[in-house]
Amino acid sequence: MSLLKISDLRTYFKMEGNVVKAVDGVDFELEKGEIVGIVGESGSGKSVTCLSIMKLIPEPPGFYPTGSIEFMGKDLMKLNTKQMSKIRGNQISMIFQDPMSSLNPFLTVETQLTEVLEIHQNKTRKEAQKIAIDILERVGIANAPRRIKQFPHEFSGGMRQRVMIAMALLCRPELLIADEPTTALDVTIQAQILELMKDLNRDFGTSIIFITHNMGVVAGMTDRIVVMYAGKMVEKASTSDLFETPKHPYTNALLSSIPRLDIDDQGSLTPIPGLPPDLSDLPSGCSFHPRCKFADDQCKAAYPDRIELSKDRMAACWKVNV
Amino acid sequence: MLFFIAKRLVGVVITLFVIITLSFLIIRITPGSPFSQERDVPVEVLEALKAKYGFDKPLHKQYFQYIGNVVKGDLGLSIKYSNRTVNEIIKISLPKTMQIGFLALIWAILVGFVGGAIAAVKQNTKWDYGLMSIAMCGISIPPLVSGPLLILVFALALPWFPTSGWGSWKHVVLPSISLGSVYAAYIARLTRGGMLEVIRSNYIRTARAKGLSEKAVVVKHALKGGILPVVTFLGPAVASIMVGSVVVEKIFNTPGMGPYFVDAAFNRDYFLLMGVVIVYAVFLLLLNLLVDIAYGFIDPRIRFE
Repeated sequence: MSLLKISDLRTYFKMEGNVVKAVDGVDFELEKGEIVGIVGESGSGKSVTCLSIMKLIPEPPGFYPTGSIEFMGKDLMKLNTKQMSKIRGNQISMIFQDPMSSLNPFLTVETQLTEVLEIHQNKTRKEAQKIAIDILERVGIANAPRRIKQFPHEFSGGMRQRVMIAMALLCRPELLIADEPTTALDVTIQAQILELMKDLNRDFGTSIIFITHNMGVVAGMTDRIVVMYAGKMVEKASTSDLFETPKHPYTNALLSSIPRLDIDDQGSLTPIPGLPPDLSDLPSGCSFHPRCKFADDQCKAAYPDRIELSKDRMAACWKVNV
Repeated sequence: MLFFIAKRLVGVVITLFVIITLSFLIIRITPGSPFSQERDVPVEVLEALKAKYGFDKPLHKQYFQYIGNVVKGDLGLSIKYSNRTVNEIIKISLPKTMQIGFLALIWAILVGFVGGAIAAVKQNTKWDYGLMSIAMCGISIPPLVSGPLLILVFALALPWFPTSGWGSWKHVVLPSISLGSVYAAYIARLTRGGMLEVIRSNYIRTARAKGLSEKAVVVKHALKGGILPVVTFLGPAVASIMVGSVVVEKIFNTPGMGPYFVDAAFNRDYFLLMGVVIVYAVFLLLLNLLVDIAYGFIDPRIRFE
């Protein structure tokens, strides 16, 4: 049985009479110890997918017309707020994009770390403090017994993200959701944080869902990748398959927009023309057709079926066999 | 921290000095005199009166003498209430005003804070709309209206409290509610605004993602940041609550300091007016200092330098 099985997840928002389909049909599975990447441009529904797994979407305006999220045999969609709080931060943790604003500026790091253990494991403040210091050291914060007494503003960006990771790992969760954890950091710090996450995945066996718009980052991190566009899953494949033989034109376009060091005369990068569509006013047929160089009348008329190419390999495109 | 307070106290003294100087000048430049009455007073009497209060000397000499007296803590003689010193008048009236003010403040903070927090947590529900409508009424209904209304209901229709006067704790209740309601309404709106901003912030999402209950999220994570705007407002608000409201004290016939503000200005009671201004200025300056210190305790990012 897989650790997490998401089936037909849809997250819509009611906005001034309009229904915005932020996530519109996402299915994927995650095995224990696996790292799955979700990639796509801004507004493709990556973050909303993950916030939906945590049930952190404010309802209203958000609602889930369909979908089930099976986690360790339980359907999270059927849990109430109280049952869900027992899972959040305990069995499923999340780290966010912006470590500057994701820690509470008014509370010490110690308070923010120990409260997790106090609520989920009934630890006393003292026990919790010891565990927190250990884990801070584990994520590479020197001088942890002194640093833990400090406030977030006394940490640098990279250090704050380490604190966030430490906070997420306190209860040794089965699943860690990382929503663009390195986007706000500079490149050298990015590499350190990615390395740290890989180590933790290996040492603790924590499964990770890794959200990013950076194809370079997912290549080195993940086992499998889900590509999202305008709220829909357009391609799903193992990382090596996806990079070697991308099937969806959108995946292809994403890959050609990465700068590469291993090709001498690359010429200019190929950007994807146009902008991601407005979710409240999607184009007809395949949402990607206005930006796709292979698009024809069929693409404008109807949304393509998902084509199962092999086990765990899927693409939703009329031109997939071309 | 101590250095910060010392530095700010020096600033308070300088500001106070400027306030005293300007008020002294403005009050003296204003036409009219404490002795102008409908019937002319004989010249000799007038001269004698002027001599008694030192008004026969040139203005700059009077000014330096006044400053000297203020430094010694002597605010001079009242002109209207002859033979009473300003110190005496303030000493008797200010504590009464402060009693009303203190109760009004507790009422305002308690009601405003809880109301605002509930409205923010239950944003866009009937709780929010209801509470904010009440707050809007609170802001729009001045003590001039709420005072008589309270007397009508809680003193005449239901004889729970005395209509006016001074003596027991019961005399303090209605004026306090009348005075505090406007502030309660402001505090409710500020609390709601502050809390809403915080509740939308990323660190509240983090707190929810950690599995905290909604109550813990609000009380432990949102409250501190949410009350910052209220703390800013409280400095000047407490100062004006504590020196009293002319309207409230007139309506409830309380022997407090508020009415002296207006009476002294009308009567050209120079020293009494100056005394009241100084008391208000000291309150305002010290409370603003207190707010800045409180800020440092609430928000660790602020350093005292």
